[in-house]
Amino acid sequence: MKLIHFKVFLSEIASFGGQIKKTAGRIVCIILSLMLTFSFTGCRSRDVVEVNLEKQDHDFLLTPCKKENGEAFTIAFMDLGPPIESSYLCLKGLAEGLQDSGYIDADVPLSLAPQDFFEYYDVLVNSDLGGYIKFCEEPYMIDEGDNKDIAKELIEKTNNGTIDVIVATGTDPGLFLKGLDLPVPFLVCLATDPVASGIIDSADDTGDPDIWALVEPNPYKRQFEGYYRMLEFDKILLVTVNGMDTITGNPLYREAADELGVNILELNFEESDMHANDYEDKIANGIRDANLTGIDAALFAYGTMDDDNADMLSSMLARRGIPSLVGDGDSICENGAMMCLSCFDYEGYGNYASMVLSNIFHGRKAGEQPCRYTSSPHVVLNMNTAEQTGFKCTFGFLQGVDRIYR
Amino acid sequence: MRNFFRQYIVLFLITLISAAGFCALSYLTVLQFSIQSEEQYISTCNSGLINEIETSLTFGKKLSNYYGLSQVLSKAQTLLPEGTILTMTSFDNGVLATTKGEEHFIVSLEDYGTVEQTIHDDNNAEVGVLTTYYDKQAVKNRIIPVMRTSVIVSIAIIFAAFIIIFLISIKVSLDSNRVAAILTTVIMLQGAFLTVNYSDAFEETANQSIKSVASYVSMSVNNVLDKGVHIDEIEGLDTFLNNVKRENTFIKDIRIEKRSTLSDSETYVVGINETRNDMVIAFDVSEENIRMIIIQMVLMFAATSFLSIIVMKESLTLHDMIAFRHSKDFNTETNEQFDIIAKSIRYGNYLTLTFDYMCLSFAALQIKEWNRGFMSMPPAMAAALSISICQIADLMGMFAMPSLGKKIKAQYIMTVSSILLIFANANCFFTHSVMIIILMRFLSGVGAAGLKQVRNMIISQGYANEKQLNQNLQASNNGIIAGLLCGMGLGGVIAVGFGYQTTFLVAGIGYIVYLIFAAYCIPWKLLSQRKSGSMADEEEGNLLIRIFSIFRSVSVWRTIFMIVVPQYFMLMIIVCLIPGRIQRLELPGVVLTYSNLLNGVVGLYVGERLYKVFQRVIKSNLRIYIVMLITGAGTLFMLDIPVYQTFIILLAASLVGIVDGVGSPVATDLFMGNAYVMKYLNDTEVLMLYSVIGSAVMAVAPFMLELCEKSIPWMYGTGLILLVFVVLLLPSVGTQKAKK
Repeated sequence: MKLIHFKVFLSEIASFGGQIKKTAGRIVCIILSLMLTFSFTGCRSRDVVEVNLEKQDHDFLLTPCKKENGEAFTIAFMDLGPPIESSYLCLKGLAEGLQDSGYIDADVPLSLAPQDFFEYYDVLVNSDLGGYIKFCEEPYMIDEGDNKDIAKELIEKTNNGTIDVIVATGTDPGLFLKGLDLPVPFLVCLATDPVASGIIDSADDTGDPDIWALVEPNPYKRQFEGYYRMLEFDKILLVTVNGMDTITGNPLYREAADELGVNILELNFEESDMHANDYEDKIANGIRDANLTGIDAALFAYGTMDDDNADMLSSMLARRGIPSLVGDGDSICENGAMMCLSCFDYEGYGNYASMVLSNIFHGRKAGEQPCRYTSSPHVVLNMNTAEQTGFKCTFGFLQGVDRIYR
Repeated sequence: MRNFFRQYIVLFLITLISAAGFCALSYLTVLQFSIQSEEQYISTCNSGLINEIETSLTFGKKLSNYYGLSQVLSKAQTLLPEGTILTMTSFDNGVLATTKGEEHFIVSLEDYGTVEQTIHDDNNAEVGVLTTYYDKQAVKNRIIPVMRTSVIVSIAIIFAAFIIIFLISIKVSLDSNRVAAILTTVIMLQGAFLTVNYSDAFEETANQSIKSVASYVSMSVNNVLDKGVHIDEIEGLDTFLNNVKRENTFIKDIRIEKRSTLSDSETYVVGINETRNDMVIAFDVSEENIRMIIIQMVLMFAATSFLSIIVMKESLTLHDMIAFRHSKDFNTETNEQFDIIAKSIRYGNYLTLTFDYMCLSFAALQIKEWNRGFMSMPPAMAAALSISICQIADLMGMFAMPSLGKKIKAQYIMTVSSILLIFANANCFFTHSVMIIILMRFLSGVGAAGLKQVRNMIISQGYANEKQLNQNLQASNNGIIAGLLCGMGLGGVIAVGFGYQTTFLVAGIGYIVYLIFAAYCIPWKLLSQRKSGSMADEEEGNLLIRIFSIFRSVSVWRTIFMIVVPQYFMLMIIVCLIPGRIQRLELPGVVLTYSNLLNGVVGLYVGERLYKVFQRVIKSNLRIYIVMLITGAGTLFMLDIPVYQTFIILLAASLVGIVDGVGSPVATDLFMGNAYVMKYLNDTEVLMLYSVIGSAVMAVAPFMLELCEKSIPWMYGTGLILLVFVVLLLPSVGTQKAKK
């Protein structure tokens, strides 16, 4: 009985299939012929996103290359001696940028290198960088004298092809190199205002195809705005030195305060005061005598607070609940100032200079490379001073802080 | 015996298709939950990167000269799952940086999901977008083993059920009710298994997500602690933890406490570099939220199983139609043949409406996703055009079709319209051009109008007496309700799981099924003969002139404005008013799913029974319609009751379902029963005019219902207007004459 059922079952499947086959067959033919006409809309490609990397404001050729004769490019590094922290950071940024682009072998342990300018430089000189670049045996450290020996050596080595390019940090090295009129390109990746100091003509046109200098647009104004965003002060004590406006950016602070509606109580010193033995007492008395009622923060322009007086001044202010802010210098913070929000990203400068350097290695003119570079903020905090001042360190703020001292 | 096996095979195929659909839809539901969880995690992880970039932009940096951006992205990439690609796009300059390390590359959206987060400048203006392409296949791989088990067990359940049916049927005869009951049990069993099976997988996904978020949080906290800060010196850490908690549904609480004070075994703990007090971060898993999401998933599964049951229930008539196709009575004027015609009208409408509504709104969404305009139109306008052009073509087609119908056989109109729809839908799937989509949607509108004409022709020629006409109208309406129900439900799930354009592919295949069904099961020869017989009685002259002629009668105006217009208006309550109310009352999305489901199920199955009861008890169509008007008014009055809101919404949806299931055939019948209308137009033309009026009402009703949703006086006022119609129609009760 069951077997008969099964046979009927199978025959029914076959008959059912046969019945619909005829009708379906015709329709399938129609559909297949229709498919041919789909060609006018094109075959369906998979849903995809095509990503085409656009160039940023300027394109950089970041693939490593050697000199035409197959030799490595030789880089000379120059600074105003003795090198300070910014010089080290700039050199570090330059080296890491070159490593990212492949000019320095990835195996060179730069991240483990010592945090000191000369020791770091030694690592660069003594390591096998990979054959694309090499650094001169010693960095060139000029002083306030005439630097005749250095000038002579540079002229000789650039003329005989021993040096292919010079990277300099500081306004003085920039002006010194410009005066030598060497036959090789040079890059000034750290100078407060290379246009005002005359290293280049402008950020758009350096005035010399072999000279390039990094221009940071409005760093002081942006710094003041940054402090304002963090602390929202209504009245600020601004400590300045007369006659150093280009370096310290005093007019730009005033301009920014005016735009933001911040009242300024200004405490001025002369340049000669800074070099006097009693400067520390002078500035301490100045602050003590000032009417600090309603003052929400104190900003020390470049040069007014240093490593020596930082602890004393910031403690004075912290006792009155006034945050001490500095124009520049991580070490000043380390020594007591509450915060340094710098719009000078020295590591970033070195990094950017490495990209410009790569373009030059690929045959492009130094003077035609883009000079403008806007730094990300670099924030340093002294936690002890912050606590004394009563400054609330929120988690979001601490995430953005680059370094914390105690 | 042959009939039994034919029935058996058809049932088996239908059940297999329904169960496969159920499996696929359940998998897609769980996949969607897993993808959401993955995207939540990515968004949380990227918040640090976005914060860093936005801080730099606040300090004057520009995206266009944010040199070294690729390195910044690469650093952030280390937090994300393996294979993730990050790109930064500036709205002014295009893609500026990527972690891919190539200048040109292609990302397949079949393999990668995307998370887009906008970047703002210091003025809070949007300047760019951070796009994260994550490995979608990896997410799928996590649930594929569970899906495989689901498929194997589902197939086993079906085979077991059919062996049982086969064995039982040898001794006991199987009527359709018994078969429906068995198959419903099969789907329920399958649903129960899928729920249990996927619940575990889902819980695992939730726990995995918490683990990933926990490692992100501990890393962020450690980054700060490593700078030399003590945990008690950090202000606002709670805010950060609360934000993370808010962004991640599965986390109930995040707190920092001493390891020694931990007691809850449910808590997930990660260590931090705070040695002073041996602190840890403890994550409390939100069992409530996981349970709530699982409940939502179960409800979605249940809704899907209802859809599967509806698909099966509607398709159960197939074997009757196929069996009758082989009988000698096929294409003869027998009562059985007319019964089969009603069934084929219902099933045909069910198929066409399912596939029509499956892809209705997705052309617009696809155009919006492409973000491309058409000619000089912006993308939003081109998207709107893709919908309206279909409706325009439909309306124009409906006016043109009656005259075509006189010259061309219905069978040919059906074939050409179906091919047009297959062609248009296939092209919508294949194309990447906005112009082609708009053109194809126009053709779809024409094709839909052709099928409506065919439906009207079958209704108007496929009956021998008044009862059979009612039966046809009822069947047509039920097919429409079932089609709407399944079409919208399935379309949404397919679009979410496989992309908008896939709905067109499925619709195209669906119209092939319809074409095979219609060509095979509808008695075209009989309909053609009946058409030739009735040609002699037909009115002659221009259709438009004849349509204008009917408007000379006050009774026609009264029928249109007191019956046809209110009926279509009431149908729109479920489409426009109830979703708005659900949104306003902030009820969960699943309430909307169930409102639609209840509306359809009640309209389809309860409505059908109730209509028969009303016909027996109340007898007069006008009286039945008055009851429907009162029901519609009652629905509007009850929607603002402030208690048991979910229940009220579901009750209102059910009542509107009854208005649809009972009111629609009654209103059509009353319109066709107007002597003045019938004097100038034949049945097919009357049905066409009825549809056109309906389309016009459906175009205007949303604006009025929007006002009702926003203003309670408008809602009550509209309810009162429906009651005024009741009062105005009351004097006509008793004077209503039978049609023809």
